[in-house]
Amino acid sequence: MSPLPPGDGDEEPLDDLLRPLDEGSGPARRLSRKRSSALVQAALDAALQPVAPAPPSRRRKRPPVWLMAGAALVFTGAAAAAVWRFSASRPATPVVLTPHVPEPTRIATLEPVSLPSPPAPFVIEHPRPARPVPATREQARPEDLLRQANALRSEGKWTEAEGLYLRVIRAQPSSLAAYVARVASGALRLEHLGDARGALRQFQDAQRSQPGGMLDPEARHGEAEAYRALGDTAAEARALDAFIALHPDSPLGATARSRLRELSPR
Amino acid sequence: MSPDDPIPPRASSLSDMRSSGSHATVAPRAAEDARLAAAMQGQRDATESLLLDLLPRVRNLVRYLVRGDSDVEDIAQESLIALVRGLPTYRGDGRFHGWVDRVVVRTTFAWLKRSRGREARYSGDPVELLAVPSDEAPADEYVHRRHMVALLDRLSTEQRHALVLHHVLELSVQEISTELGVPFETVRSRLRLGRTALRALAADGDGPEGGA
Repeated sequence: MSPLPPGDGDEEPLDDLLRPLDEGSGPARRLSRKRSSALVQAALDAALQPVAPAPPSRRRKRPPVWLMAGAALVFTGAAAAAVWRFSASRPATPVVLTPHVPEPTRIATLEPVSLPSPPAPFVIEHPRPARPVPATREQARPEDLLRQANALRSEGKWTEAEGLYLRVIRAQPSSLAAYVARVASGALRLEHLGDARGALRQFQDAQRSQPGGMLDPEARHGEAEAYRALGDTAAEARALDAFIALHPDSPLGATARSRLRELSPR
Repeated sequence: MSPDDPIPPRASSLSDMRSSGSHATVAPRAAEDARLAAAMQGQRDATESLLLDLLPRVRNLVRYLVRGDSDVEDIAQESLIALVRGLPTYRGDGRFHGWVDRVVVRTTFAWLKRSRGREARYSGDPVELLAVPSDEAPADEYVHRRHMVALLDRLSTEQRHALVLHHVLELSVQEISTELGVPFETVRSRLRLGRTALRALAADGDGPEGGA
């Protein structure tokens, strides 16, 4: 192991406490081969996908001048005709006139003036294409949405992140991204959104969608936590039992066992 | 290095970055080079194999840099993605592990900057030092590292990063000063204070689990 970098006048050793980085075990938690492989696969999937096209610019491409001019003419003509038609075709409302003289009252009715028949109606075609923005948003890849959701979560924008997680789940319910989104959504609901019942549903859905998946410890422990938040101690104990049986080496195991002891009848 | 710049550095800027003596732990040089070349060309199998080998190093470095375990996998995954996307920019004229470490550090710092304020959620749970299976590495080494990183969790972020960059990645004070954009003497001061604090914590057996 090499000594400290020379030449900076700061060579007090600390090798007994901190050692140079290597591929050995620790200080990161141990990770099973299965989870390591899943993590690498997910990273590869995200990294090797073709880069999504840049979001459409706010400034749309203008249609040709001749088309704009024609459209303006058509629109103006149509608008004028519509105004004219509206005003011309409105049926004349009978007007009641009350004379000042106390003579027998006469009601004068003004007859509608006959007008030339209105022109044929215009069919106005909108010169611009349909707005593409909603479609593009819906077509965003789940992995991209997941990344955006994680970023929002990192910024503390819980509700917005939750919205994106739900979009990921809706987009491809059986995908790995949806599985991750379910667990993330469950944690968000439990920790930040005060929705323990929704969290419970998400954790359970995650377990059903990928039994024994790479986030199974988190999903199972989250399920127990959700039951705890709901005050269902019997279900919480069952969930903790299952969690400890399936993941005895999990870093959460110690707290799970401790909690289970609290719940056990003395 | 700008902490918020997630773009992997080019190898030319990394040639002076030290690397640990871990090269002996990986495959022989020729095979390693062939796999690396294949990965740089975008071959999935080679890239996957490379990432699987790098993953422990990546995760360990991330854990050294951040408090608690909860975000390690997220950051490690972001780092792997950055590595894959940055591979074509690696020109082979610097040490590969040095380049990898730099990408991971950048990704981690960028993540920390984005998530500023979240560290308050860290609860300092002592957990898994109670029982450690020894399937891949000596348990005592694992426990030692877990103990040390638990002590690091109790230092300030600035002292922690200075200690990790200096003692774990073996960067010089000057390099750290340049990379972090802080004065040379500030780095020295952080190192001095960080070492003192870490030694005090270790001597007191004041780790969360009371010593490994």
